Amino acid sequence: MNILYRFSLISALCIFGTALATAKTQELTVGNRAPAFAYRELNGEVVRPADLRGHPYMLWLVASWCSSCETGSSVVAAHIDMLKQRNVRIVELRLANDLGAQGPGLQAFQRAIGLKAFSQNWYWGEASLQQTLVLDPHGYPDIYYLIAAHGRIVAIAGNPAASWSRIEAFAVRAQ
Amino acid sequence: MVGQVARGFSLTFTGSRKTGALLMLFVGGAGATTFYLFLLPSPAVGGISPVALHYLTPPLTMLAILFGFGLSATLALNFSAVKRSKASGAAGLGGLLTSVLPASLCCTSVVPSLLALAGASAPTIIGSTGKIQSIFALHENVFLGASLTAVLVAVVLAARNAASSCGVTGQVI
Repeated sequence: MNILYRFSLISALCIFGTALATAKTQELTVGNRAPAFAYRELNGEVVRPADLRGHPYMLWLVASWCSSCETGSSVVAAHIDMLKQRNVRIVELRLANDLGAQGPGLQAFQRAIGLKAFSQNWYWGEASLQQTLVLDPHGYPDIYYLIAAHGRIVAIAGNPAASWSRIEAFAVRAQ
Repeated sequence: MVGQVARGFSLTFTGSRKTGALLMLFVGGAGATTFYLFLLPSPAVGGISPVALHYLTPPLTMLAILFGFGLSATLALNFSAVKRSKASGAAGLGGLLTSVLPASLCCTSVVPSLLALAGASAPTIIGSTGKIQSIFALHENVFLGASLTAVLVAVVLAARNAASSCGVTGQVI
């Protein structure tokens, strides 16, 4: 009886906790307009909403210690010329404080990808805490939004290496 | 010790119940190896997926074979012994669990979801989930090394157990 009582109490706390965490989270979903944030780039410049307006783009939030993010970046690098031809931009942002962990940092991460990572249509930057809370409230280390030229989110997913076909289809449709 | 291990293998895989033991070794080993072939490269794609096979390297393939056949050999050796070796079973299970950790906890939604389930707020999750997940991402090789050691220890313990177990039964008979 005592065990049953404890089990029920823990289950109730878990359900309450989940409900509380969900209630606090204002999630972006497909069909929403992408938030009009200005993103700070690694080179000190700023990507403003006006720079992205009218262009299809992939807004990607990564942690610099995340291995699937590195593989995903290599996959994007292999296709970056095709994305450029179709006028698709990539905005890759390191999540605030690397989600609380000490990673190698985004500059080292970018260098590891190679020369393609410095393509003109690929912006690398840092997401602020506020931006991270809005764009990645669940704290996933590898999440991206595909945003159409009209500014609305058309897909939300993670791990581009595993979901490349979706990004490719987005780029083809965007043209 | 090497002699005892060899004797354990010999008694299990050439003895009177060799058919069952060999079947367990090869069928179980092939199945477990297939599982590991998908599992080991999965951190690269953030989860177990057929796409992970694209990121399979020769060292990972070798590890998958060692893990797969190591675990099936442990099972076959333990089943052939009169009394199961608890230490070997624990080492084998430890090896299995340690090898699964980087793939399941490194770059997936598992840790943030568990934190959310525990009632952590979004700022808390964002400020702490990386501390846990990055351990598995940055030290993946350490986890794989520990798994390999545990599986090898499990095989040795199971073989020694099989050898000593057969010796005991021989005396009784």
